[in-house]
Amino acid sequence: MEDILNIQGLELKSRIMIGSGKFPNNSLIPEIISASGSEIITVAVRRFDFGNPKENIISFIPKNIKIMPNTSGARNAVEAVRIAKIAQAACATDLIKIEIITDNKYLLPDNYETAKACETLAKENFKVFPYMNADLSAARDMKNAGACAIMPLGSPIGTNRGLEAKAMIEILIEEIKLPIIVDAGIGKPSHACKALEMGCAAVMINTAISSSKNPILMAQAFKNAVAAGRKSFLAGFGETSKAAKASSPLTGFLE
Amino acid sequence: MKVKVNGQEKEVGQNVSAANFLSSIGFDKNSGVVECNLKILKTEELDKVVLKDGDSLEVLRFVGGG
Repeated sequence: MEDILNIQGLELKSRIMIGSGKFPNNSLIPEIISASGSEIITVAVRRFDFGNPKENIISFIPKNIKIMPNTSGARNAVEAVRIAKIAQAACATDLIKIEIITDNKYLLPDNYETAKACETLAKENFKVFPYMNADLSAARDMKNAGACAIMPLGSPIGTNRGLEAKAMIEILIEEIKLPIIVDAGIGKPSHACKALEMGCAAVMINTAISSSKNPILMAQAFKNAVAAGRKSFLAGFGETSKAAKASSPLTGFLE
Repeated sequence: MKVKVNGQEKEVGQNVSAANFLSSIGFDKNSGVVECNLKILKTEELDKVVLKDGDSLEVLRFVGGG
Protein backbone atom coordinates (compact mmCIF):
# COMPACT_ATOMS: atom_id res chain seq x y z
CA MET A 1 0.00 0.00 0.00
CA GLU A 2 1.27 3.46 -0.87
CA ASP A 3 2.41 5.51 2.11
CA ILE A 4 0.84 8.95 1.64
CA LEU A 5 1.25 11.86 4.01
CA ASN A 6 -2.09 13.65 4.10
CA ILE A 7 -2.03 17.14 5.63
CA GLN A 8 -5.57 18.52 5.54
CA GLY A 9 -6.03 17.22 2.02
CA LEU A 10 -2.50 18.03 0.87
CA GLU A 11 -1.25 14.60 -0.21
CA LEU A 12 2.49 13.99 -0.35
CA LYS A 13 4.39 10.87 -1.30
CA SER A 14 7.67 12.37 -0.17
CA ARG A 15 8.43 13.10 3.47
CA ILE A 16 11.14 15.61 2.82
CA MET A 17 10.53 19.30 2.29
CA ILE A 18 13.27 21.46 0.85
CA GLY A 19 14.26 25.03 1.61
CA SER A 20 15.52 27.16 -1.26
CA GLY A 21 17.94 29.39 0.65
CA LYS A 22 21.68 29.76 0.34
CA PHE A 23 22.35 27.60 -2.69
CA PRO A 24 25.52 28.59 -4.54
CA ASN A 25 23.40 28.98 -7.65
CA ASN A 26 19.61 28.88 -8.00
CA SER A 27 20.02 26.93 -11.24
CA LEU A 28 20.82 23.91 -9.02
CA ILE A 29 17.31 23.94 -7.58
CA PRO A 30 15.59 21.67 -10.13
CA GLU A 31 18.26 18.97 -9.74
CA ILE A 32 18.20 19.24 -5.96
CA ILE A 33 14.43 18.89 -5.88
CA SER A 34 14.63 15.90 -8.16
CA ALA A 35 17.44 14.24 -6.18
CA SER A 36 15.62 14.73 -2.87
CA GLY A 37 12.26 13.55 -4.19
CA SER A 38 10.64 16.52 -2.47
CA GLU A 39 7.28 17.81 -3.66
CA ILE A 40 7.40 21.05 -1.66
CA ILE A 41 9.90 23.88 -1.54
CA THR A 42 9.89 26.91 0.73
CA VAL A 43 10.64 30.47 -0.36
CA ALA A 44 10.88 33.81 1.44
CA VAL A 45 9.37 37.21 0.62
CA ARG A 46 11.71 40.18 0.38
CA ARG A 47 11.82 43.62 -1.18
CA PHE A 48 12.29 43.66 -4.94
CA ASP A 49 15.91 44.30 -5.89
CA PHE A 50 15.80 47.09 -8.46
CA GLY A 51 19.51 46.57 -9.01
CA ASN A 52 18.93 42.96 -10.07
CA PRO A 53 15.43 42.91 -11.54
CA LYS A 54 15.82 39.73 -13.61
CA GLU A 55 16.56 37.37 -10.69
CA ASN A 56 13.41 35.37 -9.99
CA ILE A 57 13.66 32.20 -7.94
CA ILE A 58 10.22 31.03 -9.02
CA SER A 59 11.55 30.52 -12.55
CA PHE A 60 13.85 27.77 -11.21
CA ILE A 61 11.08 25.81 -9.46
CA PRO A 62 9.45 23.10 -11.61
CA LYS A 63 5.73 23.63 -12.17
CA ASN A 64 4.73 20.37 -10.47
CA ILE A 65 6.41 21.39 -7.19
CA LYS A 66 4.32 23.07 -4.51
CA ILE A 67 5.59 26.39 -3.21
CA MET A 68 5.29 27.05 0.51
CA PRO A 69 6.18 30.67 1.32
CA ASN A 70 7.51 31.43 4.76
CA THR A 71 7.00 34.55 6.83
CA SER A 72 10.67 35.01 7.69
CA GLY A 73 11.45 38.59 8.60
CA ALA A 74 8.26 38.83 10.66
CA ARG A 75 8.79 39.90 14.28
CA ASN A 76 5.19 39.54 15.40
CA ALA A 77 1.87 38.05 14.34
CA VAL A 78 0.71 41.17 12.51
CA GLU A 79 3.79 41.20 10.29
CA ALA A 80 3.51 37.46 9.66
CA VAL A 81 -0.11 37.82 8.54
CA ARG A 82 0.88 40.68 6.25
CA ILE A 83 3.68 38.63 4.66
CA ALA A 84 1.40 35.61 4.28
CA LYS A 85 -1.14 37.65 2.35
CA ILE A 86 1.55 39.16 0.12
CA ALA A 87 2.89 35.66 -0.56
CA GLN A 88 -0.57 34.39 -1.38
CA ALA A 89 -1.09 37.25 -3.81
CA ALA A 90 2.23 36.43 -5.44
CA CYS A 91 1.75 32.73 -6.02
CA ALA A 92 -1.88 31.84 -5.34
CA THR A 93 -1.11 29.28 -2.66
CA ASP A 94 -2.88 28.54 0.58
CA LEU A 95 0.28 27.06 2.14
CA ILE A 96 2.18 29.19 4.62
CA LYS A 97 5.03 28.41 6.96
CA ILE A 98 4.79 30.81 9.87
CA GLU A 99 8.19 31.95 11.05
CA ILE A 100 8.27 34.72 13.65
CA ILE A 101 11.65 35.53 15.13
CA THR A 102 12.74 38.30 17.45
CA ASP A 103 15.93 36.69 18.74
CA ASN A 104 18.78 37.62 16.43
CA LYS A 105 21.46 35.41 17.95
CA TYR A 106 19.81 31.99 18.04
CA LEU A 107 16.95 32.79 15.65
CA LEU A 108 14.53 31.03 17.96
CA PRO A 109 10.83 31.39 17.11
CA ASP A 110 8.36 33.30 19.25
CA ASN A 111 5.76 30.67 20.07
CA TYR A 112 3.22 33.13 21.48
CA GLU A 113 3.15 35.37 18.41
CA THR A 114 3.23 32.27 16.18
CA ALA A 115 0.07 30.89 17.80
CA LYS A 116 -1.66 34.24 17.28
CA ALA A 117 -0.70 34.28 13.60
CA CYS A 118 -1.91 30.67 13.26
CA GLU A 119 -5.34 31.67 14.49
CA THR A 120 -5.72 34.60 12.11
CA LEU A 121 -4.42 32.76 9.04
CA ALA A 122 -6.29 29.52 9.68
CA LYS A 123 -9.53 31.53 9.89
CA GLU A 124 -8.65 32.94 6.47
CA ASN A 125 -8.33 29.39 5.11
CA PHE A 126 -4.57 29.19 4.90
CA LYS A 127 -2.96 25.79 5.49
CA VAL A 128 -0.78 26.89 8.37
CA PHE A 129 2.58 25.27 9.18
CA PRO A 130 3.99 26.94 12.31
CA TYR A 131 7.73 26.80 12.91
CA MET A 132 8.13 26.60 16.68
CA ASN A 133 10.21 25.80 19.71
CA ALA A 134 9.27 22.27 20.74
CA ASP A 135 6.86 22.96 23.58
CA LEU A 136 3.71 20.99 24.34
CA SER A 137 1.54 23.87 25.55
CA ALA A 138 2.42 26.05 22.58
CA ALA A 139 1.85 23.17 20.16
CA ARG A 140 -1.61 22.63 21.70
CA ASP A 141 -2.36 26.34 21.26
CA MET A 142 -1.30 26.15 17.60
CA LYS A 143 -3.36 23.02 17.01
CA ASN A 144 -6.40 24.65 18.61
CA ALA A 145 -5.76 27.76 16.51
CA GLY A 146 -6.07 25.67 13.33
CA ALA A 147 -2.51 24.65 12.42
CA CYS A 148 -2.43 21.72 9.99
CA ALA A 149 1.00 20.50 11.13
CA ILE A 150 3.57 21.45 13.74
CA MET A 151 7.15 22.23 12.79
CA PRO A 152 9.44 22.07 15.84
CA LEU A 153 13.09 22.94 15.43
CA GLY A 154 15.61 20.14 15.93
CA SER A 155 18.25 22.72 16.88
CA PRO A 156 18.72 26.37 15.93
CA ILE A 157 18.42 27.28 12.25
CA GLY A 158 21.46 26.57 10.13
CA THR A 159 23.50 24.94 12.89
CA ASN A 160 23.48 21.40 11.45
CA ARG A 161 23.52 20.08 15.04
CA GLY A 162 20.63 17.65 14.64
CA LEU A 163 17.89 16.64 17.05
CA GLU A 164 18.99 18.42 20.20
CA ALA A 165 15.32 18.91 21.11
CA LYS A 166 14.66 15.18 20.65
CA ALA A 167 12.96 14.52 23.99
CA MET A 168 10.57 17.45 23.53
CA ILE A 169 9.80 16.47 19.93
CA GLU A 170 8.95 12.94 21.12
CA ILE A 171 6.39 14.46 23.49
CA LEU A 172 4.81 16.35 20.57
CA ILE A 173 4.65 13.16 18.52
CA GLU A 174 2.95 11.40 21.43
CA GLU A 175 0.50 14.14 22.39
CA ILE A 176 -0.29 16.29 19.35
CA LYS A 177 -2.41 14.51 16.81
CA LEU A 178 -1.09 16.46 13.87
CA PRO A 179 1.84 15.71 11.55
CA ILE A 180 5.08 16.70 13.31
CA ILE A 181 7.65 17.97 10.82
CA VAL A 182 11.13 18.70 12.14
CA ASP A 183 12.34 21.97 10.71
CA ALA A 184 15.75 23.52 11.30
CA GLY A 185 18.94 22.07 12.65
CA ILE A 186 18.98 18.78 10.80
CA GLY A 187 22.53 18.57 9.51
CA LYS A 188 22.99 14.97 8.42
CA PRO A 189 20.89 12.31 6.74
CA SER A 190 21.22 10.24 9.93
CA HIS A 191 19.43 13.05 11.84
CA ALA A 192 16.58 12.96 9.31
CA CYS A 193 16.43 9.16 9.50
CA LYS A 194 16.20 9.36 13.28
CA ALA A 195 13.36 11.89 13.09
CA LEU A 196 11.33 9.58 10.88
CA GLU A 197 12.20 6.55 13.04
CA MET A 198 10.79 8.45 16.04
CA GLY A 199 7.50 8.96 14.22
CA CYS A 200 7.87 12.43 12.76
CA ALA A 201 5.73 12.78 9.65
CA ALA A 202 8.43 14.55 7.63
CA VAL A 203 11.50 16.74 7.81
CA MET A 204 12.34 20.11 6.33
CA ILE A 205 15.93 20.48 5.08
CA ASN A 206 17.82 23.48 3.74
CA THR A 207 21.26 24.26 5.16
CA ALA A 208 22.39 20.63 5.33
CA ILE A 209 22.01 20.41 1.55
CA SER A 210 22.95 23.94 0.56
CA SER A 211 26.12 23.92 2.68
CA SER A 212 27.30 20.55 1.37
CA LYS A 213 30.19 20.48 -1.10
CA ASN A 214 27.95 18.35 -3.32
CA PRO A 215 24.34 19.47 -2.73
CA ILE A 216 22.85 17.09 -5.28
CA LEU A 217 24.53 14.01 -3.82
CA MET A 218 23.52 15.19 -0.34
CA ALA A 219 19.91 15.60 -1.49
CA GLN A 220 19.96 11.97 -2.68
CA ALA A 221 21.40 10.90 0.68
CA PHE A 222 18.57 12.67 2.50
CA LYS A 223 15.98 11.02 0.25
CA ASN A 224 17.36 7.58 1.13
CA ALA A 225 17.68 8.38 4.83
CA VAL A 226 14.11 9.66 5.08
CA ALA A 227 12.79 6.60 3.26
CA ALA A 228 14.77 4.30 5.58
CA GLY A 229 13.55 6.08 8.69
CA ARG A 230 9.94 6.01 7.59
CA LYS A 231 10.02 2.32 6.59
CA SER A 232 11.62 1.31 9.87
CA PHE A 233 8.99 3.28 11.80
CA LEU A 234 6.23 1.51 9.88
CA ALA A 235 7.91 -1.87 10.35
CA GLY A 236 8.26 -1.44 14.12
CA PHE A 237 11.39 -2.03 16.14
CA GLY A 238 12.32 -5.17 18.04
CA GLU A 239 12.65 -4.99 21.80
CA THR A 240 15.90 -3.97 23.41
CA SER A 241 17.35 -5.91 26.33
CA LYS A 242 20.30 -5.72 28.70
CA ALA A 243 21.43 -9.31 28.23
CA ALA A 244 22.47 -10.77 24.88
CA LYS A 245 20.03 -12.89 22.92
CA ALA A 246 21.79 -15.19 20.48
CA SER A 247 20.88 -14.94 16.83
CA SER A 248 22.42 -18.36 16.09
CA PRO A 249 21.13 -21.51 17.85
CA LEU A 250 22.84 -22.25 21.18
CA THR A 251 22.58 -26.00 20.59
CA GLY A 252 24.24 -28.46 18.20
CA PHE A 253 27.79 -27.20 18.75
CA LEU A 254 30.73 -29.34 17.51
CA GLU A 255 32.27 -31.48 20.30
CA MET B 1 5.51 65.04 -6.09
CA LYS B 2 7.20 62.32 -4.08
CA VAL B 3 6.37 58.71 -3.27
CA LYS B 4 8.29 56.13 -1.25
CA VAL B 5 9.36 52.89 -2.91
CA ASN B 6 10.77 50.25 -0.57
CA GLY B 7 11.60 53.01 1.89
CA GLN B 8 13.32 55.31 -0.61
CA GLU B 9 11.86 58.58 -1.80
CA LYS B 10 11.34 58.94 -5.55
CA GLU B 11 10.07 61.76 -7.71
CA VAL B 12 6.99 61.02 -9.75
CA GLY B 13 4.96 63.14 -12.13
CA GLN B 14 1.26 63.98 -11.92
CA ASN B 15 -1.36 61.45 -13.09
CA VAL B 16 1.07 58.52 -13.34
CA SER B 17 -0.26 55.04 -12.76
CA ALA B 18 1.52 52.67 -10.39
CA ALA B 19 2.17 50.33 -13.35
CA ASN B 20 3.82 53.02 -15.47
CA PHE B 21 5.88 54.39 -12.62
CA LEU B 22 7.14 50.96 -11.50
CA SER B 23 7.90 49.98 -15.08
CA SER B 24 9.97 53.15 -15.45
CA ILE B 25 12.18 52.10 -12.54
CA GLY B 26 12.65 48.53 -13.75
CA PHE B 27 9.83 46.48 -12.24
CA ASP B 28 7.92 44.06 -14.45
CA LYS B 29 4.45 43.85 -12.91
CA ASN B 30 4.39 40.07 -13.30
CA SER B 31 7.57 39.52 -11.30
CA GLY B 32 6.32 40.37 -7.83
CA VAL B 33 3.65 41.93 -5.66
CA VAL B 34 3.00 45.58 -4.88
CA GLU B 35 1.51 47.05 -1.74
CA CYS B 36 0.34 50.67 -1.82
CA ASN B 37 -0.18 52.16 1.64
CA LEU B 38 -0.34 48.58 3.06
CA LYS B 39 -3.04 47.49 0.56
CA ILE B 40 -2.07 44.69 -1.82
CA LEU B 41 -2.66 45.68 -5.43
CA LYS B 42 -3.59 42.96 -7.87
CA THR B 43 -1.64 43.00 -11.13
CA GLU B 44 -4.64 44.36 -13.02
CA GLU B 45 -5.12 47.13 -10.44
CA LEU B 46 -1.64 48.56 -11.04
CA ASP B 47 -2.82 50.24 -14.23
CA LYS B 48 -5.82 51.80 -12.49
CA VAL B 49 -4.11 53.21 -9.40
CA VAL B 50 -2.88 56.78 -9.94
CA LEU B 51 -0.11 57.67 -7.52
CA LYS B 52 -0.58 60.52 -5.05
CA ASP B 53 1.98 62.59 -3.22
CA GLY B 54 3.15 60.71 -0.13
CA ASP B 55 2.07 57.25 -1.28
CA SER B 56 4.20 54.43 0.11
CA LEU B 57 4.85 51.48 -2.17
CA GLU B 58 6.35 48.18 -1.12
CA VAL B 59 7.49 46.09 -4.05
CA LEU B 60 8.14 42.48 -3.12
CA ARG B 61 9.17 39.20 -4.64
CA PHE B 62 10.20 35.70 -3.66
CA VAL B 63 13.77 34.84 -2.83
CA GLY B 64 15.45 31.69 -1.55
CA GLY B 65 14.54 30.81 2.02
CA GLY B 66 14.06 27.85 4.31
